[in-house]
Amino acid sequence: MFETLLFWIFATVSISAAFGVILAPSILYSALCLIIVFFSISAFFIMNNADFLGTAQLLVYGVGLTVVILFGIMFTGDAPLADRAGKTKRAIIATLSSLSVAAVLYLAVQGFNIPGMEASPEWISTLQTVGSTGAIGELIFSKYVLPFELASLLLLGAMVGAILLSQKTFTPDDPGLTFSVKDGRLSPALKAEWRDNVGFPANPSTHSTNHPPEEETHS
Amino acid sequence: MSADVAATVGITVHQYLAVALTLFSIGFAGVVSSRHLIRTLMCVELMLNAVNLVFVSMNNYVNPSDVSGQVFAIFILTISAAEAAVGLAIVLALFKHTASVDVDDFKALKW
Repeated sequence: MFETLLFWIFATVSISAAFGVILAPSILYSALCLIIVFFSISAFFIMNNADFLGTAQLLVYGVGLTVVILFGIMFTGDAPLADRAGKTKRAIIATLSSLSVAAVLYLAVQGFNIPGMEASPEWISTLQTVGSTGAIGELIFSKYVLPFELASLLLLGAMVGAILLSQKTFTPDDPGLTFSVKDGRLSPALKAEWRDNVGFPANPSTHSTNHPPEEETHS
Repeated sequence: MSADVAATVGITVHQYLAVALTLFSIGFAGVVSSRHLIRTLMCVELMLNAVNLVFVSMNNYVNPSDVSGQVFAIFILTISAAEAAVGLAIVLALFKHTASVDVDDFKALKW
């Protein structure tokens, strides 16, 4: 009974917060709603005997990922986007397509009758004493050790790539990077402002001309 | 579902699947409709979370003694963390170019 009550509470909270993610007027409110969704999904995990995964969900999604997203929002600013035409068209397309996705998924699971299995008594006593962490670790390092190592490689690659991408500065007269944006958002004045304030790599020629005078005074 | 299993008494796996379906559809609607790049990323995370919920609840229903579903969910968690980091790095790089996070502004390759 208590679990049923908890389930309905968390179901209501997660679904309404998910609506908040896509409908909130400010991107910051969306991010806060996303945290609520992550926390209620973590509660679902714990209700499904996945204690380790629930905690990992709290740490990785509820804290880590949302901090990354909030950093992104801080860097880009949370100013609302300029109004454009076609807002209702967009909403109608989104509603129709997501409803059809939901219909397909519902039809896929509607007739399913996989027999459920009871937990073995040993497993129940394991869950009641030490939890599922040990079993997960055993499985990761025996049966799924190759995907585990590949995941570590992927994380390394993603980290290096993210650092490279976010460090990638460009000189305004680099022909490979100055594609023109048609409505003129990257105006020359803005470019010059960035060059002076945000810190493009200083022009090597100006760098080299900065130093020689000091050396001349020394000699 | 047997009454012996510790949690999920009175809640069938179908209810979890229904919640996951709803979350997935909402995330899909957000990906389709959102103009803000970061909101699109958030909706992708929402969809991944719905899939994780399916994995965990089906694992608890089909064979609770085997935690393969939870291991899969952990891999999804890892990959989505990598995806978010790279995605936000791309968003920041784009923002440096155009000073905008509006999807409609990135039409350099549009025919």
